[in-house]
Amino acid sequence: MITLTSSDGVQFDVREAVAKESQIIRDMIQDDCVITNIPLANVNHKILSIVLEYCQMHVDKTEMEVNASKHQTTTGEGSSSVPVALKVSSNKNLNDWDKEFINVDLDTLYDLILAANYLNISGLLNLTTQAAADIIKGKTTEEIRATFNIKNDFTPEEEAAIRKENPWAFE
Amino acid sequence: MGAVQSQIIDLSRLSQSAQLQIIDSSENPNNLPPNYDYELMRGWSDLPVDILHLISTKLPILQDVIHFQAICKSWRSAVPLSGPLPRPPWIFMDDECILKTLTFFSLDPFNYCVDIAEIEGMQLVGTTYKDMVVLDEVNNSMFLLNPVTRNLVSLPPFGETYPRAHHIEVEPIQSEELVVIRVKLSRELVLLLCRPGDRGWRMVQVPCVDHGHTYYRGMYYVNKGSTMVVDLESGETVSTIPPPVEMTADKR
Repeated sequence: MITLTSSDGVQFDVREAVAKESQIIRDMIQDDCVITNIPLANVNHKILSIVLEYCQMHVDKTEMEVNASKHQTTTGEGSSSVPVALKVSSNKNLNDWDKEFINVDLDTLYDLILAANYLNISGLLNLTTQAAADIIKGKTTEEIRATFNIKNDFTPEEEAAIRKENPWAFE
Repeated sequence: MGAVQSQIIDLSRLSQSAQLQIIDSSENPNNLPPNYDYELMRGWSDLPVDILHLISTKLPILQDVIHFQAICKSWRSAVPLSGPLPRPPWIFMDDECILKTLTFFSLDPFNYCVDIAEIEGMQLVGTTYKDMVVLDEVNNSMFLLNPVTRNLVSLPPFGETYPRAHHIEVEPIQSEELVVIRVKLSRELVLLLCRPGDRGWRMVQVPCVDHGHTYYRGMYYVNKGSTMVVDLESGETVSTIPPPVEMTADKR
């Protein structure tokens, strides 16, 4: 077990495999095999618990697949079609689970993106940035700024020049 | 590239703050590391450039990317594209012969409908380089139509033997000016040529083939085993290209 401590001092005891979903923790453990307590200065307990829920789920699913394929090799060729079907369905379930998992408010999504980047969890970074892109797509610039509470820091002249480059995109 | 850089930065930050946290936690476990101001940089415009770039690569269409880089300076800096970008082409589905509304399908999320009252009831017979060719069978007249500007240009009249719409095809040549209409008759293919503003059509007759004909740089190629090359300016057959040797061998 490894203890991860959030920026606000909450400790999470997780299995090494779960913590190692994070590339940065994986590197730390490899460098120093006696490490048992890792403080995470950039992630508070609320976000860390969500991140760990993601890691836990993905480790569980991967282990299920590994077990299924081990089962396949020990029971011989006759049952080869079963684990393949299991793998497909578990991938599908995991995608559904990801979709449900990432259905969060914008503040949480923002924190998850930063946490996924900081901990270097590529699956979670892809999932969260895709969710952000899905919110952006199909919106006008005004709608995007309003949604994400972004101040327009272009001068009127700069903005006019930007719009003039590709006027068709702003029709 | 960008991701690798941020990984290196994160690694150094983590080990640095990890040491700080260990010192802190021995005295005051709830103390935040003093060198972090991440609570202050809270805003979607403050995201690291490589994350913003990653988000921009997941946008499905070009219009979204152009919107993305028009949001604020930091979002703009994350997108390497700049300057005018080609607009995705519109696709016109000619599913109704009698025109009323032209519907264009676009790679933008929208379809565009253009109502052009002047062409109501006419038939679309093809497209040139940039215009549509529409035929008014009732009044025996033919027009070039630019669907964007709605500019309608009369083409010369055909005279008495006006071809019906189903006999007419428009040669889609890469020329701003020349209009080449193919009229398929039973035995021969008649090419009618004009430039907008001409008073009449010039006629060039070539042997009729189903598919083996094409226009290229002023010449018309008709393939019937061997290939006839017809100069459209003079109407003369300039040369005949024999079929490839393998083909003749096969036929024997």
